[in-house]
Amino acid sequence: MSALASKVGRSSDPLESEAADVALAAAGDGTAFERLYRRHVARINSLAEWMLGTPDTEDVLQDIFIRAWEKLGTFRGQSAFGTWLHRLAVNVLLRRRETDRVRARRYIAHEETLEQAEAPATGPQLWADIETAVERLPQRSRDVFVLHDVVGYKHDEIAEHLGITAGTSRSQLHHARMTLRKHFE
Amino acid sequence: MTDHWTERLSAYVDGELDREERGALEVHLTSCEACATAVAQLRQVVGWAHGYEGKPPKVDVWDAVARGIREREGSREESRHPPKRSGERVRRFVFTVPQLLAAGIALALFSGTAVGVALRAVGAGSGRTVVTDPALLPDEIPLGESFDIDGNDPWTVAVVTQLEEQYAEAIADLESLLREGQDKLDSATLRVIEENLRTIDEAVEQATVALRRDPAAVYLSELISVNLRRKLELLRDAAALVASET
Repeated sequence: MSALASKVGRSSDPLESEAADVALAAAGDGTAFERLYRRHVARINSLAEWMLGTPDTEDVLQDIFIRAWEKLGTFRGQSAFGTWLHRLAVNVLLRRRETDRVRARRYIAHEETLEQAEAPATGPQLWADIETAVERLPQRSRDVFVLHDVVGYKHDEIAEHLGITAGTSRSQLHHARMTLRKHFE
Repeated sequence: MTDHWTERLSAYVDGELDREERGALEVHLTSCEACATAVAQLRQVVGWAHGYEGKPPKVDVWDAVARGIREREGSREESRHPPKRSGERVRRFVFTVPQLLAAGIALALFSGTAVGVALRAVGAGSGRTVVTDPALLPDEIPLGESFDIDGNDPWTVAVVTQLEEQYAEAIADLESLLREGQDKLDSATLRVIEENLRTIDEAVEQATVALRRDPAAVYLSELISVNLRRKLELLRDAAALVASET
């Protein structure tokens, strides 16, 4: 634990604790930043896997968290840190996708085959199966679903990021959800 | 289930239908089991997405992230300053004034008690401070660990002075407004405002004294900026309250 963190102690309130870690990290405390990393890396990793269509996310995760460290000073606390971080990650991921066109072969094979995402899930595998089903959604539906339902973007923001209309975004979201709902039958 | 409502179910779940369409759909749902089931399942999908905690990466990349930060901060420092003599220590502060203010907003969430504890701990004169320059750290010391560091740094003091100057005029104006309008506030409200102002002033004073003893303690300059901002916000609220009672 850093000197400052050990002096002020840790809050039991997760939001307050996170705000304190953000402030500490902005002041250069790497230990606090590591706590933020640990708290958010799994969700950011899933976001990266879904948006890049590959499980090989090490490189882009590094890029996202290094960029987050560099940009911490611009975080104004107007939204939750997680929201800010997700939006930063989406920007990095979309840029990465544009320049690298990272597409794993097995994900390409799944493209445009909604049926493969429809296999019903059972028992404790439910969540893992839904994760897989999200991976198997056609890319456009997956992008919209992830940006809207996981990250929290509005349709007009999604439209701007993906170069589509808000109506298309709504339609893709509907079809993605209608596909995924079968796992809750 | 392919009736004409099917395409509207997702928008319904998101609350995007207008009142008329929503009402019509809700009537439909009472008689269409398939659509009602679909709505329930769509809500489960949305709930799953909102609560999704993610999947850890195959390989933990923290070490690479920390190394990357050190390298970038180091190369940036080298390009900004000429090489120092061997053994000469430099200190680089990571804050600009806007960054201090940004950190201040987040730090405002600290309780007053926590701030007091921090101040007492710093005020005890440990002679140690948080290292903010990754380039200065030996490999075995992680970022953020306390580390002995020599010398004073006028930069921090200058930033604090600048912050105080930025706030001074606005604070003086608002204090004047509050003095003129304090008879419009009930005594309990006024007492709470005065107690909070006094607490903030004490925190600023303590941090300023501690900063003089340890000018390299970046956190103290943050505390001052946080408390000046809190004071400004409190005075603004109080002035607004006075105005609303006028």
